[in-house]
Amino acid sequence: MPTALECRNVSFRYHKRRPVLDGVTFAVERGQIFGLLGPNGAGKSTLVKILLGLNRAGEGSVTWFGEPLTTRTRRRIGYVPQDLALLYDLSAHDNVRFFGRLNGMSGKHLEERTRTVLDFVGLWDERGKQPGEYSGGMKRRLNIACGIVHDPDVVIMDEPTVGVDPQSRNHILESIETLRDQGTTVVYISHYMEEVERLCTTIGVIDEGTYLCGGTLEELLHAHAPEAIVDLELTTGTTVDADDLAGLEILEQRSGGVSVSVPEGQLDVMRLIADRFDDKVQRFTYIPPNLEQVFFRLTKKALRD
Amino acid sequence: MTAIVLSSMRRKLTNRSVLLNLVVMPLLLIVILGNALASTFTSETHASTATHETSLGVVDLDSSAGSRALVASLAASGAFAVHAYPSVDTGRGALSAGDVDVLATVPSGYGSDLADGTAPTVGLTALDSQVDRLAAAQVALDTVGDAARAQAATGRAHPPAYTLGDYVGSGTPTSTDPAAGVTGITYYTVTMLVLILLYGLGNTMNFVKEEYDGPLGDRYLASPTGTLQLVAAQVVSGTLTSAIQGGVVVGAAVALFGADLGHSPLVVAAIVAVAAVLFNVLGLFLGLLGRSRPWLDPLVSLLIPVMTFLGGGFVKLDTGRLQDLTVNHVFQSALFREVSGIRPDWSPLLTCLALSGAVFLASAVMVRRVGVR
Amino acid sequence: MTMSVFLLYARRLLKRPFALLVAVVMPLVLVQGVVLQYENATKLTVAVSVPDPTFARFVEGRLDAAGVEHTTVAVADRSSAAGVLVAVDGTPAEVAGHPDALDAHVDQGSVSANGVLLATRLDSIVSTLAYLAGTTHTAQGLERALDRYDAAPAPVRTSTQVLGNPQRTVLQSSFNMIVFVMLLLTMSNILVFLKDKQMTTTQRILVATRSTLTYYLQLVALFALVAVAEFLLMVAAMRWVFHVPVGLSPGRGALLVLAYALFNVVAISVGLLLVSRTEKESVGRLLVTAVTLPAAMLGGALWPLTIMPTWMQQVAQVLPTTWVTQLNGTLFSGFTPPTWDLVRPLLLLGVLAVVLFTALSRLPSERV
Repeated sequence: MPTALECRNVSFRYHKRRPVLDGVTFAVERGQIFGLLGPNGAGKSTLVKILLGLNRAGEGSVTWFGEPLTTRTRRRIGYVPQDLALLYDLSAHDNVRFFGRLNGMSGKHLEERTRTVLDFVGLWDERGKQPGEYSGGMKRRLNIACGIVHDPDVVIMDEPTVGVDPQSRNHILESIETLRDQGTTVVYISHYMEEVERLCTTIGVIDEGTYLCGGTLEELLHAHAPEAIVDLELTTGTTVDADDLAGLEILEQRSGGVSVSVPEGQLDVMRLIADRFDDKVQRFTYIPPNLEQVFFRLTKKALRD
Repeated sequence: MTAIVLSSMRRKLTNRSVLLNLVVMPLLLIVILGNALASTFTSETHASTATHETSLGVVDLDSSAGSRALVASLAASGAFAVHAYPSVDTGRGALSAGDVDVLATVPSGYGSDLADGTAPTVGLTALDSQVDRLAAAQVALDTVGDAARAQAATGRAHPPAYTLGDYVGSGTPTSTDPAAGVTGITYYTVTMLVLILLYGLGNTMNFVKEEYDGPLGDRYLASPTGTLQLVAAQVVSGTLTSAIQGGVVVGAAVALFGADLGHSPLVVAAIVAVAAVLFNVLGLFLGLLGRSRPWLDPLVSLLIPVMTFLGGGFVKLDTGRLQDLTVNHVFQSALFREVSGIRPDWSPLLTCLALSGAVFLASAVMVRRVGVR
Repeated sequence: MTMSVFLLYARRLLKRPFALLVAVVMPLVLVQGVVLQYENATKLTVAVSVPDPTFARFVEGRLDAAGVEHTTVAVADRSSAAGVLVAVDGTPAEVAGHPDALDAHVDQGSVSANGVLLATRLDSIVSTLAYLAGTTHTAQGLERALDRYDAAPAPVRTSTQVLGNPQRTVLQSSFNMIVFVMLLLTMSNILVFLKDKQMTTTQRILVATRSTLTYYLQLVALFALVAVAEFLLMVAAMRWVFHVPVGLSPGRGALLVLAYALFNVVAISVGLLLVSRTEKESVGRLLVTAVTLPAAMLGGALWPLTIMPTWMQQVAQVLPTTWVTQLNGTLFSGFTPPTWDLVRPLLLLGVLAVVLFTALSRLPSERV
């Protein structure tokens, strides 16, 4: 499949400080939803600015559809920033039209696309209102409409669901799935692993400016988190001794609880746990392999830190 | 670029507070200033010296032929409007009441002292608010002895008959102050026009700062519209807005209050255009700079009225070299030259245009430097 | 907790180094403008364009004796000379015995009362020159006559007396300017409060404060202190920078400090009331300008009240700026004012401060 975006060995630092990005390399194929996952401060937004040409990489290169960023390629890119980038003194309708014009659209095509995207985000009936009159979720949806009005081939979405209510969040995620179904490539930046797991065809993990790994969800889980976790919360007054833990891989031991690793396919470990802790456990939680564990394995810290 | 210009214009011109601030406020100020200070402008030029006589109260405690001659010569000098008072108390009363500017007291024995060759002393008194007038009155009053002194110098029998006024020409506005001779309303139409244009700097600065500081700026810069076009759009929309506001203010001042801005609307329009371009380019530059320097905002907010004050915008004053430091002065001078019918001096305006070009290019480079904020 | 709001905002005011710099530099620059203007207005200066050295010495000698400063202007520059000008052409050899050959004129420049008075003096000097030329026949004779004239005693002398304080105008104008500066700075500061309101920081501060009243009390105390600091700065500047003796007795000084503090309390209270009317910075700015400039202009901070038409002076009587500028006039006049003239402005400022304060403390907290 042809490549929509290729980021090769990109490094960036502010003045002479510690690098914010260090040799980031990945590629996004067309038609994919590529999820870039990382905690706050990982360098995601800086990377987005470099992808869009707002910051210049100290080293490395970025190509879009095999070309460097030019006016022509810019027309094929949509951008939905993390913070709301709207004109508060214009109506929603005028906002969308303005950003359409900014991207070189005009005339009937612009009018049609304005209607299409406002319909798409469910704001056509409320198009006459100014953003200030919208709820937080509606503003986020308008923010998306302004980024896709020119029908781009690729959309970069930087944390589009931050701070929205569950209903609007679901609406946004469904919209992104529809975009994918229509053939649009989406670069989805987030620190919400559930969203990335739900939406993304391929996933890249970034932390402290370093691109840690990339691949499909299955590939990542297989390579970096091949085990499930069983978390045991002990009944009050109960303790565990060395005999209880013998033969088990303990991930974490705390007062009143213990987390045990369950490697893929090893059901005898489950049996062992059942035998030894049957009368000591107040609550038993089974956590299947997930991105959180991938991240933990790679960085020794939680994604939400 | 047209899309940005049109949208910016629409946003600015439909904003009620901007309209109020930039059109209604200046008109209000022109009315206040024009009325409050009208008295300081009337008969500034082309007036007879009679309207500029110093009102001199005289208390003649001698009442001799000599003292009467003194009073008569003062009245004949053309510099004083003489009012006689019977006593020092009534004279001082007139002084306190503001009926006279200066009080002259001719001492008793004036005539005999003069005849004896013992120089008598005429006392001059003024209130503390008239210190400058008192000094000038003393200089003029000293002339009363000149003829007698000349007589003494030549040893002739009779004093010469001076006709004061032989050599005095009428007052004419001097070329160093093109604002001399304009009416109060015209003066303040010019200074308030420059003030509105200067406020355009502040508005563009705020507008650009809001547009380019943050995600909206990222969205602009990520679009296929080029950097030069983006910054040019801000300057064009700001300049057009300033020009419209300036036009409304000038039109209203001329139509409603009788301001006179000369006979060449094109020259006035050219000066306004240069000012609007310079201020908007500076506003653009400062707005971009202000993204990482929040202290610029209050500084500019304060500098605008301060420069207007020092440039003589609120009160017609000459602050010497301080005035030359204000940007208002450049455009006020150019407009006053036009109003007074003096040939325009284009060199400062061309310098402003060149400066605008340089600052514009610097802004185009700076707009992309968001990453180093 | 007791003074936390006071300390918080004091720190914020002090932590804006540029704003602080402006607060110090702006009054100095503006007062410098006033002092310069005053010096220009009170300094008697004429331009002298007399190419002949004998005549030039005579004219300049007479001007020096009268205490009038003079500048020399070349013949070619006469038309562009500013102010009052005396031009004399001819030499002693040409005019001795032929006074008509003396080509002299005095130009008043832009006409003003002082210009007319100076021109009168110059006209007399030139007339004397012409008279002496007519009474002599040779250049040497004329030069001797000029020397004799210089040496002769003046038949009439004059003395001057100023009633009141000779520094009154410059002091009054400078301190009126401080009223303008204080109003401008205080009103500009309210934009900080507007930003806090937008960010709901004010709400957070109010929750932690004992009551809205204590919040306002601390703010008002801070701005009263700022006013005192501004005032003391100006007194120091007048004394050491501009070398104008302020000449206020401690009692009168204290009275003026109190008036400035009360005035700033009124200004910040009006500012806070404006903040309560809006959440938008642009509207805040508009309201600040709409209040500050007319209040300063009509209140006599920028020019003397007396030059305005009567109806405007009557309107101005309701403005707190007027009360302070009138107090400046009373205190710097050099006369002993009636007590009521001193008490009245303070009383009015105090009552207004109380009224505004009451209005503020009754505001619903979400509008603060």
